[in-house]
Amino acid sequence: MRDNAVERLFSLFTSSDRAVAIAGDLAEEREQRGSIWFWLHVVRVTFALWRSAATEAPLRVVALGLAGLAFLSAPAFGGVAAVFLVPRWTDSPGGWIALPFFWWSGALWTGASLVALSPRRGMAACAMLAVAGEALLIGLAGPAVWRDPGNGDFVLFCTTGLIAAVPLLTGAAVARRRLLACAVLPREQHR
Amino acid sequence: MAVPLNLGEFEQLILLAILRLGDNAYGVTIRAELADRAGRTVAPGALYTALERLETKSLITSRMSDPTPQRGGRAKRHVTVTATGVEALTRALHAYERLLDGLNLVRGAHA
Repeated sequence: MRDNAVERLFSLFTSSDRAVAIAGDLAEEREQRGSIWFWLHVVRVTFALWRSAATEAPLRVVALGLAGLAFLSAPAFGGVAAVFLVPRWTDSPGGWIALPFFWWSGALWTGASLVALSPRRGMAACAMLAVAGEALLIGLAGPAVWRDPGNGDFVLFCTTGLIAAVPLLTGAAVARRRLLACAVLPREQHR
Repeated sequence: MAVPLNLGEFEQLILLAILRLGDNAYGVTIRAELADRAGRTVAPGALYTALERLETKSLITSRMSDPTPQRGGRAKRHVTVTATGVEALTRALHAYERLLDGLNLVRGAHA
């Protein structure tokens, strides 16, 4: 039985038949070049497909990224409110359970929504949003955490924010897979 | 009238490789042809995004073949240059010819 993981990965950014062909080409060369070459190029091809999807229509991808930020703002505020604004929940475990619940479920929903809005570019926009968010969070909050690692609240906020990239990409990937599986899209829109 | 498409050097090389390969043009053979004939080691990612771009511009078409065991049961995506692709390539090569006319670059001296 063939391993479909690689073509599933490629199909996040290109049409499913292209993804199968690219995975097949890499598998064909794997015999000669080895597994390290194969996996290195799986990563490089994925990055190239993402970059291509993003740069073909940069304004659309940026607009989708901004829409994603707007979608994320309500659950983000909900999470902060749960920790700091609801007096009963302040400094209680309930607040700290509510924060990841709001942020991660919001991220999951945002990922799925962006792909529903734009099947061709939604995944690329989510990946851009995730990378930009991680870079901003590490760049802005990283030094503060480094200086004061004892500030538990701040560390928990940052960690919850960093992990939010996972549900964001998962939501987008699941929505994309569902669209491809249901064959709702015409062939060209799979890209 | 449609605006003529301008081809980059990499796109020209890919189209020429596809024309040379005929019915056997797909990712692996195109990369091998470019390495053998043009001395260009092309990363798979660069080739696939270029092929996608050429297909979007209607310069090539593609069809899926039957799956083969050595590819883990996956099909090949064979590509063919369209008439528009041949026309764009011919125009680009004619431009080179006109620019090269009177120069003797191959022998290393300007005429």
